[in-house]
This record gives sequence, structure tokens and C-alpha cells, in this order.
Amino acid sequence: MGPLAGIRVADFSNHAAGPQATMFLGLLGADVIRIESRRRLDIQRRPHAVYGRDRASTFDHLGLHKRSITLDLKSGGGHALALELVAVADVVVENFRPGVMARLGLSWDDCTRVNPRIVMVSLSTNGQEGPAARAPGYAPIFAAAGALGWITGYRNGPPVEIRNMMDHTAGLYACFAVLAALHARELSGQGRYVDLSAREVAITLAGESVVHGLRGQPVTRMGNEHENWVPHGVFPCSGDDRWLAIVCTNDREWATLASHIAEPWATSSTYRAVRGRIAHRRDLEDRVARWTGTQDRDRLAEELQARGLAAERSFDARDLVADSHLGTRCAIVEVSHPAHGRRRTVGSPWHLKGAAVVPTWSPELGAHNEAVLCGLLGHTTDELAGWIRDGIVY
Amino acid sequence: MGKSLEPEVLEQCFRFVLRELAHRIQSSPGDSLPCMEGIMHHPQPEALAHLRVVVVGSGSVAINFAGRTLADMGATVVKLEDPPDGDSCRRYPPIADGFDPPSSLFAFAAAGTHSVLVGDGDADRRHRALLLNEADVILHDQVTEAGWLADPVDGRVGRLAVVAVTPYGQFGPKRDVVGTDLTLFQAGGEGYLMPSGLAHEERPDGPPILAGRYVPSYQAGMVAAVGTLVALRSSEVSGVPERVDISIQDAQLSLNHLVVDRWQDGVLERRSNRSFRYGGVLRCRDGYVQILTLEDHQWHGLRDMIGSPGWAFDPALDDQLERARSGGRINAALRAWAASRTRDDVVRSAKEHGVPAGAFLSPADLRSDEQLRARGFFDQGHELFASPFLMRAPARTAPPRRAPRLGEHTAMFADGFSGSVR
Repeated sequence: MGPLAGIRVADFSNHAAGPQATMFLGLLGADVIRIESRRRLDIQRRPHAVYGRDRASTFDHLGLHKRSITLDLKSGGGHALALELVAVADVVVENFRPGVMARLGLSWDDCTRVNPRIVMVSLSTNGQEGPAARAPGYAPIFAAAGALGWITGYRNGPPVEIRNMMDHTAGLYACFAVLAALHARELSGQGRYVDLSAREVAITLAGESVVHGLRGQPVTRMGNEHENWVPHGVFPCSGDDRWLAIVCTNDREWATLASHIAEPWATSSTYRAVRGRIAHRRDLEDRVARWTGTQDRDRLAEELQARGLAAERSFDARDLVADSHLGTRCAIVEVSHPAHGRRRTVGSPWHLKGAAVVPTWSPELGAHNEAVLCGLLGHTTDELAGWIRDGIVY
Repeated sequence: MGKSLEPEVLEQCFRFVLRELAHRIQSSPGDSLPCMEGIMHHPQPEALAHLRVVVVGSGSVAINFAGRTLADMGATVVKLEDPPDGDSCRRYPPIADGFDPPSSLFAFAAAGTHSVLVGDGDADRRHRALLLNEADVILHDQVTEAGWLADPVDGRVGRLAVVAVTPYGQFGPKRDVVGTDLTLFQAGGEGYLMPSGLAHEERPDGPPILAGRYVPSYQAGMVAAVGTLVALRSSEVSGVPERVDISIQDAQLSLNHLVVDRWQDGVLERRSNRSFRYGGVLRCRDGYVQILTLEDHQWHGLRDMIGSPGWAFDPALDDQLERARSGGRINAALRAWAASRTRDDVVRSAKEHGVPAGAFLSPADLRSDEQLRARGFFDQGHELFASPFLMRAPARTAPPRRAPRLGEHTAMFADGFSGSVR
């Protein structure tokens, strides 16, 4: 159970952004029914060279808290079953290219005809309208087009591709859109349609820079620099690829760091006031880096945090999985499967009463065909057998 | 001049125009939005109309952005600020002197909210208590809720969501550790992996960097906005206040789970091994383009785009894994091809060949972008831009609202939310 218990989602999404949205809804207790097909396997269900995988994944984080059915939506029978599901659902989520849902007979108009209370969220690269609506896109592309990639990178270096984080953040925004539309539905009794552009999501992640640029102000890539806070960087520590982020937001914090460094240059009057630190930023941060390069990252992080400074390790995956704070907060949880064993994955970012949904393994393809098509929609097992034979359930 | 129209006729004409507008707004996706006075207004959704939100805190971009997000959807959002200088986010960079507010960060993150100045005097305390008691949502940045923040919650009956956004959450060994966007981005799994691709190739010894400027705060703000609506739902059922604890680190991690998944599959991702085998960031004569091909037909298009070199037709390259292994050679050819062309030429050619690609656009580039103009994303001649949530029926065609001046709405909310006008 969770706070969204009683909400049912017909999930037509695929790849990353849409499934992130529906995974969050399932995490919060909604009954998410994922409509898949063997004719068009989603990315985690097949080999993928980009992720260095020569076979289907046995675990899909974005498949957690969902049920899986398989329908050939291009068949009359599959389309009819999809609409039956929409009729008993509260939410439809999709992230196809604009026009696909309409061609499948599952547009907003089609869905509201069978369920006037349906909430539908369409998440696409550029939105449903406009000259670029049908252009294909992936996370790095809409992050580039949304200025977020442009403002990210070393000073005087090239822009940076923004990857999974961008997809998943678009999914987070879609999750919010679903909840806002459900809230509106409670007041009006009517469904809502939300058209969300992942590129526009990217723009909001660069919002302060976009406003600055719209004001006619110069905007450049700054790496880890900050106009007013020095030091403000990620510094190397001893060992291979071990880094520590350190930020001093005022003179008092710098004095604390300087006393910890305990070398003559650190207590120099040159750096005591922020104006001096800004004027000599490069020199100061080079000195800090030389000092941190002799320090153990983990020990230094703890010491500086204990002294009230903003300092944090650059966590790799090993650090994340082993971190006691994240474990205490169930931000890292364990899931298990009778055949695949146990593994760690990421938990919920929402801590509230009654929100604990026990993490389950991602479902096998079509694992819930009978439970949904018969148990929920009321069809017989003979009908289901016929649909499987005819390739409608496939 | 003819006779003026009778009032009844005028009303019929007015209602006809409204019906036509409503029909256009409620029509299927694919139709263009109504255009008024040559300016495309981005309809502002009213999904959260009647929601009363109070934001309490200083220096937290996350709760400001959560408040802005709720305001985008129609909520009335009031920031309680301390005299004399208010929320320190008002002084966060980037700063544009001569603009109001000077902080472009505050102009963005607090757009659409209201500012009420409350000090320590008796009248101020009563005013603050009034607003907190009338709120449906309290967004704050305190690790421990105490005093006047706890009082409106304890013993309260009825719907109330109290949402806390802090660096490491309200419980756990690190609850009292301070954090900024830079440190928290490094704590969330993505920081260690950035930059990858061309930026890392050109500076392999460079440090991990921050995406954007305030990305962790915006993401946590959106997580808080979700938590707000979920908590309200719970609270309506239970009849008592619901508290939500949001950690900026947890929020980061929830969006960066792939790095944990890959480690559990035996692959430790680093900046050095995370790049796309071919494609990625391409340097052009006058800028940069991002190219990414995941499907076979897109590879065929890319192959043709760069001039169909003979080696690219090796049957072995029909296999995705083999193409990945040959990524260096493919990239050398692709980069050489792009380097001699302009950014726009590369994007045009990619489109012609069915290769997913996009130019790296600067903030200044966005204003003239045809797609964004068609969607009414920017208010013409104004620095504000609309909510990314384009919601149908009903939709209020009001332009986006700016961030508030310090204490601007103190009088408006003197009698609580009931005196406000949205």
C-alpha cells in the first residue's frame, strides 16, 4: 500500500523518461500496468551495445512496482483490450513520438471517449505541436537543445552531454504532472491532458542561466566556479580518481578550512577576505588541490563535515552502495528474486507515513496477462488462450 | 457611423468568441494554440487553484523552486521573509545589475510567488501564525521543526502537508551536515561521472563537475512538489497533517539509479568509460552538435551522412556490439566531417539522413527558436518563460508572473489568504 493506492495507471511508455514517471507512481502505491509487446521489446529487454550489454537485463529499475502485459496494439483485438484497460484506469502515460498514439487509436480523444475522467500525460522531446514536434530525440539531444548542455563544462572547454539524469528528470516532471492533473480531477470531475516537452524540462534545469541570457547578460561555461564563493571546487585526494568537493560560502568558513589545512599560505592575509580569494582564485584553488592531494578523501570529508563545512566525496557506485547514511534512509535498498538472487537498488526519495512500498523485482514480460486481462478486465482464460494463439496477446 | 450594438447582441458575440476559443483550447493535440494580438500565450494551468502554500526558509533554492512549480499550476504561494534583507536567494548569482530582481536565479526560481515580510514583533508573529494556520502546504528547509514552525502543525485537524527539503534529510547520521549544489551533486552519483565524452577526452585529468548551476536544487524542488501532492492526498484521507522529509542527496540518487544498477551488474562507471562509443559531442566550425544513434537505421543514416566511406559498409558493422568496438574509427571520421561544417549544416544534414542530432544552444539562442515560439514558451519581449506543463481544458491564458519584490504582498495578505487576489 502507499499514498496512491487505488490509482491505476495504463503505462504505454518505453525506454527511460516515461517509465521513470510510472515507476515513481508505482513506488507511491499506484497500480501500474505496463503494456509491452514482443514485437517491440523495450530497451532493458534486449541486448544494448550502448550499455555494454550483450543480452537482456535480468533487472530493470524502471520496471519496479509494475505489472506487465503484452498486447499487439496494431491488431484490432489488442487495441480493443488497450481501450478496455483505459476505461478502468485513472491515468495514461505515454512517451511515443507525437502522432503515434493517434495512429494506434489511443489519442486523448479516443481515451476520453471510453473514460471522460482519464488523466493523460504525453511526454515527448519537443512537445505535441510545432515545427519540430516529430523530430526524434534522446536525453543528450534535448539537454543540448535546452541550453543545459551548453552551460555545463569546463571553462574554455566544450559543452557536455547530459545523459540518463535528463531522461529521468523529465520522468519526474511527468510524475508531477499526473498528480497535479489528478488533483484537478478531484475538483472538477473531468480528466485532463498534459503535453510535456523534455526539452522544456531541460530549459528549466538551466532556468537561472536562461533568464540571465534573456536579460541580455553574458552566459559562459564556468566549470565548478562560483562568482562569490571561493574555494568552490572538486579537489583531488590521494589514490586513484578520488575527489572531494569543498565549498566556503563566507570568510568564517574559509578561516575554518584554513585552520584545518594548517599551512602558512592558508592563513595569509591575501585570502582572508572573500575579495582576495576571488582575485586570487586560481592560485588559491591550486594550493588547496595540492594539499587535498596528500589527504585521504573519506577521512577528510568526515573531518570537514564535523567542522560545519560543505564538503563531500565524489561518490562512485561503490561508495553509494556502502554508505551508512543512505542505508539508514533506505535510499539504497535490497531486492531479491528466487532465480536471480539479491541485489541493491535505489529506494524512494519520499519519506512520509504510509509510503513504504516493499520493493519488488521488475516483472517478466507479460507476467500479468492473466491477472489483468482476466482478473481485472473480466475475460475468460479461454479467451486469453485464443488471443495468445492469434498473436493479439504477444 | 452605424448604430452601436445592443448589449444583448454584444453579449452573444462575446460568448461566441469565448466558445470558439474554448473549442480551440480543448481540441486534440496537433492543433495550434490560439493566437492573440500576434503573441502566442502559453496557457497557465489552474490544476492547483485554491491550494494555499507557505514557503519558509532562507537560502534554499529547492523550496523556492517547489513553490514556483506549484504556483505554475495555479496555487497561491506566499514566501515568508525576514527583514531587512529577506531570503538570501535574492542575492544568489548570476546577478544582472539594473534588473528587478537583480538575481536571475531568484527571478527564475521564485517566479509567480508572493512575498510577505514578517519580523519578530507581536503583530508579525500573529500575521505569520495566521498564514501558517490557513495554509494547505508548508514548504520549509529545517532539519528540525521547532517553535513557530511546529506549532501550526501540532494538534491541527484537517488537510495539511508539511514538506521539508534539506541537504541530507531530517534523519540519518548526516542529517546535520551542510551542503551546496556542488557538494550534493557529487553526493548523488552523477557528479563522479561528469564530464564524459569529448570534454573528458580533452582534459582526462580534470575534476568531476557540476551540471548547470543549481540542478540538484531544482530536482529536489520537483521531488518536493510531488511529495506535496502525495502528502495532501494522504492528509485528506487521514484527516491529520502529513509530513514529508526530502533529502537533496536522496532526490539526486533517485534520478541516477542507473549507476547503481550497472555496478550491481559488474560495471563500475567512470568518466573515462561512460562515453558513447561513437557520436556524442561534435565540434563544428561555429559551435557544437550532439549526435546519438541507438538504432540500426540511424547508423545507416549516419554512414550515408558522412559520405558513405567504404569501410563503413563492412557487414561486421551491422552488429551493434561490433560497431561499438569500432567506435574510435567511426568517431574519427564523424568528427572530421563535422569540423569542416557549420553547426546548422550538421543539424540539417543529420535531419535529412534520419540521424538524431541537436545543436548545443545557448540561452540567447533559445528566444528565436521556432519550436519554442510556436509553443508560446517565451512571453514576447519579457524575460519570463512559461511552465513546461501545457495542460488542456480549462486553461487560463495569463502570462507568466515575475518573482516578487521583498515584502511586496505584505498588505495583500494582511488578513491571511482570504484577502488575496490571484
